[in-house]
Amino acid sequence: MALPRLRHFLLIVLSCAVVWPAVGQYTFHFGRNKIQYDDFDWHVLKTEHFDVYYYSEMQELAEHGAAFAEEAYEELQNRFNFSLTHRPPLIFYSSNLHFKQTNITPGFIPDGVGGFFEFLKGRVVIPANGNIHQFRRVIRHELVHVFTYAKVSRLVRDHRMPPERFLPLWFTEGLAEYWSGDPDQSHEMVIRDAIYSNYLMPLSDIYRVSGSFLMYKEGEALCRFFAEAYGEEKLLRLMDNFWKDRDFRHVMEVTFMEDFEEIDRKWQAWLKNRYFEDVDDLQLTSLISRGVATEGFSAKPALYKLPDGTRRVYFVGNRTGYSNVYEVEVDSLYRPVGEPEILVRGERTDDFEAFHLFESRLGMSEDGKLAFVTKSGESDVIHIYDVARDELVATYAFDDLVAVYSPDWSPDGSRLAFSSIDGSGFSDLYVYDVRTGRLQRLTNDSYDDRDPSWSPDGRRLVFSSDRTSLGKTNAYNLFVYELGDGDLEYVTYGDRLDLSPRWSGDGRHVIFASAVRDSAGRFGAQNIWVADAPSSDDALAELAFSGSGDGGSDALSDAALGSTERRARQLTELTAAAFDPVWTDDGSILFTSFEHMRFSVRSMPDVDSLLANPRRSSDIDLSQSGDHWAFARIGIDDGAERVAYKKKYTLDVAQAMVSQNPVWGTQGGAVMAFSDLMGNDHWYVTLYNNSRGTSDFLKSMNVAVSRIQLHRRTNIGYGLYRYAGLRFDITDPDAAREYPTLWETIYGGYGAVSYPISTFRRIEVSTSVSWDDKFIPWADVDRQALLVSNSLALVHDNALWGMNGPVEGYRGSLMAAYTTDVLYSNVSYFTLTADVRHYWRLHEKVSFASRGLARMNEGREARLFFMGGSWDLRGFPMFSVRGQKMWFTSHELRFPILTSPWLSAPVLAPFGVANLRGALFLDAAHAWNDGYYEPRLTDRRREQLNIGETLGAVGAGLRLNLFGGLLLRYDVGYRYRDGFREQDRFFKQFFFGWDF
Amino acid sequence: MGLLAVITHRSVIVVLITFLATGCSTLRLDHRNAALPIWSTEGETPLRHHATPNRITPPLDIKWDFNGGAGFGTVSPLIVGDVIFVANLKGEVHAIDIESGRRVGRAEFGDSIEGTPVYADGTLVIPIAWGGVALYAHNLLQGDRKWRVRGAPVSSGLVVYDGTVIAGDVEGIVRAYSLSDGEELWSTALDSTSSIFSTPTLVGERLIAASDNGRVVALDVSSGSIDWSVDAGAPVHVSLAADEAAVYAATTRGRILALDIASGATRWEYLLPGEDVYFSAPAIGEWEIVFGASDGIVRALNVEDGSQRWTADVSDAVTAPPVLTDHLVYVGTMGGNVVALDRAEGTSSWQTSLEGRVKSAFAVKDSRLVVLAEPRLVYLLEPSSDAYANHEE
Repeated sequence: MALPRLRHFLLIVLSCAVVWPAVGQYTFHFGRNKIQYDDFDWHVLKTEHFDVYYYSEMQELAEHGAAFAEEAYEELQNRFNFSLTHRPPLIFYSSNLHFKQTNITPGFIPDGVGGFFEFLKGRVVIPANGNIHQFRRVIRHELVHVFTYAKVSRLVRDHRMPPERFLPLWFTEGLAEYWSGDPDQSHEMVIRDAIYSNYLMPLSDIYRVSGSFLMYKEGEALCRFFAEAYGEEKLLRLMDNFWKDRDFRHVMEVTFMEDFEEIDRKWQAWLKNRYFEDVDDLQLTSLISRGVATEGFSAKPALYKLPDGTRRVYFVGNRTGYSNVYEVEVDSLYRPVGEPEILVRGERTDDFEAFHLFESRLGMSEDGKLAFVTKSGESDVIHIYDVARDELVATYAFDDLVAVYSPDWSPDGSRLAFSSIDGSGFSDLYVYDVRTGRLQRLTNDSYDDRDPSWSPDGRRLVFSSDRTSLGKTNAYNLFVYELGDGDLEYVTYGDRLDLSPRWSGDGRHVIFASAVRDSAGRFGAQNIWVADAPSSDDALAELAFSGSGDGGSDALSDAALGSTERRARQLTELTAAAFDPVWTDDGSILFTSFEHMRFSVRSMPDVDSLLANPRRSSDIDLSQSGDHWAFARIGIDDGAERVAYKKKYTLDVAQAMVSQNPVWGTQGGAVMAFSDLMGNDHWYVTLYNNSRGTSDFLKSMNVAVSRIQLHRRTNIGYGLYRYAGLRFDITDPDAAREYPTLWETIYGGYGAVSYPISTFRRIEVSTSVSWDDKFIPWADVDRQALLVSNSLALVHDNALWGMNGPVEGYRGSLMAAYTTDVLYSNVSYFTLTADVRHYWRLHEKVSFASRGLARMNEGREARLFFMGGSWDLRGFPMFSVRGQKMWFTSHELRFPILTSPWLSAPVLAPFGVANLRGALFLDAAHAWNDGYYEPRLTDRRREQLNIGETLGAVGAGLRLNLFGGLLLRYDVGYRYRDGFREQDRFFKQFFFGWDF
Repeated sequence: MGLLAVITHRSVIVVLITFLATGCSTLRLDHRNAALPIWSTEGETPLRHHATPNRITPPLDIKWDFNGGAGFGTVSPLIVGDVIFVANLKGEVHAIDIESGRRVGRAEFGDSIEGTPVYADGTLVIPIAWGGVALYAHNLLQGDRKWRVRGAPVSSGLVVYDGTVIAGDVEGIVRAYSLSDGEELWSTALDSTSSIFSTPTLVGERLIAASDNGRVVALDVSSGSIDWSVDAGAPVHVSLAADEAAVYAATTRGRILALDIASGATRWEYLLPGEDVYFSAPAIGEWEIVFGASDGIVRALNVEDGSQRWTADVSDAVTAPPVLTDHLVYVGTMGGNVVALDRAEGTSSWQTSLEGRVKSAFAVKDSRLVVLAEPRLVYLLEPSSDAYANHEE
């Protein structure tokens, strides 16, 4: 009989729980906050095939996006030989920081996510990042997914196959990349590195890199290979045939009419033919440079020379999980002296929420003030850290700027130049005078201006931009901006990506990273280049620049003044890529290298020698530069319709369950969830009936309706419920001693408010009013109460998660509540809980976790807390420890046993084994009652409740992670009683769930 | 007595179960219908010209729709007498009474059927696209299996000629079998490592087939010997169509060729510059050739020289070949529309929306149009009794 009781209890708990999952990220009590900083004024632009959602500030960008989408539709309709019969919603954000606020996905969106397509409502969500080419490419990428999903879903239904089958991820992502456009520089970088560093996965093993960046790029290369070797049409045929076998290797064999091994062999031969042609000339970065910081992710170096001659290199890095700013002392040859130390800890506090690791450089002033950017709240800010005094000295925030990148100090240390994206979504240049607080906008157009760097004389800025007349084909060239008159001048020109320029100390050269397209349009490696800098009175290729330096400007003028050539020298011939070169005053180069799928900070000596003997030298003909360019737009004038966004609810999920039991009869229920397109407003409806016959059908109806609104900073939830059913209460004073069941009916409503103070902290307030009726048939006792319960909680969480649970950081919550019967005073108790968890990273993959928990219900009819089971007090069955008051502590050493089994034990990969970890643990808990219940408890009942003594468990466990999401837990050990004086028995326990 | 009751009771159940299990799964043709097919694969003859002299005057009403059990291939249904045979991608063939829209038979033959079955001499021969069997010959008069052959899947339609059934398989081989017992009579490979997705056409005694490598080959239908072979320059996935003078091969890359039946010489070529557009199989009229495309444009060319007569934008991709009636062209689109275009000018005369995409070729009987559409519906459209209903002209 215990099982049905337990099941009833669980069902009621689950029914109640349905009210709460609506709070999304707060479901498990802890968790960081996704904050709605902005109240977006959503509009819909209805084009021929799409509904484009955008907000007013970014209308121009949205109109470009609409044109990109229609352009992609026309092309993809041909490629897929297929049309969509629905209007996909495209939701655009003007920056990644706005994108991070979206409620369309409940999860947190890290930097680097270019957009996503979700299956529930078929929504495509894409942020801009200042680069309109990238925006266009991501739109195409996601629309390939939309077409693929529509086509394959149709195919599955046409063949009446189970709907869960789909194409392998490497193929869908590879195809989306392949059909998004020509291979970009990042594609060539990763594939070149994978080939030359010998980690490219054979086709047979590609599942080993599933979900990784390598998978995207390798999938793209594979699709290109299929198209070239077997014909573009075969890509569609792969989709048409995919239903024929669950093993996609067999599908490839059927489609290409060749053995899989032969396909794989041809693929590798194709790669070799493509990349091994000029291997003799290539340089491995690790052989021609010295490592400054080579562990984990390390990038964006900046150098500071202390008055005593000590050199320190600063960089952003992610060596263990959190992102930080590091410093490392180097000798005269730029060899590190000791290990890098953390200068600024990121991702743990409100001020340093996140770094733009891949996008924002560090700026160092002559007097040792390090300028760097972090996200802080709704937008980016620039922090100034005095490295000599070792303290943060200033933080600059700008009202209208959303994202900020790459601040650079003027030589006199009075001004900062940087690029920024405002609400419009376009990236422009700004200068901020730190003494006067005056912000000056230098450019104001749709071109992507980035990475400004001051000339040594403080009169000019060199920067990278797609405003070049070749920009429409995604070329970036270097420009100089004259601060005096606002004139613009080409520094480089050509079908190439010229990025991250810095001046040499003497102002005669500009050093930069560049990837050059060959005659076939293919990017080569990204190398370090040096170009002759235009002198300040140089009239070469000077371009009229409308508007003053004090604000608005426009694009390049139609005509370039004069024409000439400028010498550029390629200093390296790397296998993969170099970024962010810095020309030091002693003639060395600091830079970020990408090699062996790792970003490192490295140094190269003797720039003069490299300049004298460059790998390649070319004279760039600036006279070829032509007109400015613009992408197409679709607006109201082009036939599109513009309407204000109106909330409309559609079904997200519907689930039903029915069970049959000879004793308890037929029981069942259903859960439905609805939400609007933006994911801001959710409705949840739960119905459950646990009647044992027709007579008590209505009486046994459980209903809950709740609504959660997430569109404001303050999240609000409210709802109504009715719960009814048999309840097992061992401590109820009127219940039977042997089978203490009672029938409880609760009607009520609740309201909840969650206010995020920051990403890491929030206040939660809730209130509920419930009419509670307990009926005990055998005693004919009917107790009623009108319960009012109020609670207040403070929650903090900055924990960093690994695959199995938190691995570093801190989480804590404090909660106080009061529950009272306002009619009869039968119930009146208050609740206090405190739960603190701390995680120490002992090693990259080893953590020590500690948890302390205290709970108290004090007062009349105070309810019991529960404990026991794999999630807290191990060795004791779930819910077997019950008391009004309890404390609990747990300490666990977590270590790896098998990581990345797809590499070390590939035989496990098909079973979904993501990792196997071990744990050594010690748990202790004590629960007790007093007052209302305690006097009537017999010793046997006390024993059943496991109260009045300190219990504990010591043991070890295994954690098996399947498919990256299902964690199976198996613990063995000894459990103890009486304050660890009595060894009770050996236990084995199996369950599932994350580590605490 | 009790035992007898139990036995009787059980017998009834067994009979009922047997009836339920088998009664719905038979496919037989009434002798009254055992005439020659009215609409064979993609046309009234193996020329596959998708044309009928009949007048089908819009507006058309849906007389009935029928759940075909699964999705359909790209080729047309087969009409024999008053029965429409529709094969689906789940491997079933449904027989539907054309008057009532009710099912008169159903049988399952393999994992998937993509090409249209052919009918001859009381035998329905079904191309099987997956599952180990290549062809299945079903005796429609007796409702049982006549023969079957194992081999590479057949994803295209078939040709019947003088007691021979001819199929092109996904390994690029054209094979001829005896209609009476399934014995293989000859086989010819079109190309190395290619597949045949295009339904071959028959002009006189010349069988013309095409591969997805773009190889178009004319074979002697009696021996399988190659008369001529031409490279179309791009894969051919859709059915070939022919008239007495030329065979027309539409490709996946914006190209359509008219090849001389006798020599294979190119009579004319129509090419969209720089575009990879999938063309549908063409419909051939006395003066024109009409085809749809993945770019949503229906094009009509002069059949004599390939010059363009007109184009019509139907918005959505067209994978199903159009059908020519006496004065209109009917086009099914991926947007779920059936559009009637004026044959002379290409102007839209009428259109209606169905529940899903139209990806398969039409079939015609008299003045009625059989349309296959998503999700798995067979529609019979016939001229409306109310001349103004659904009229969008």
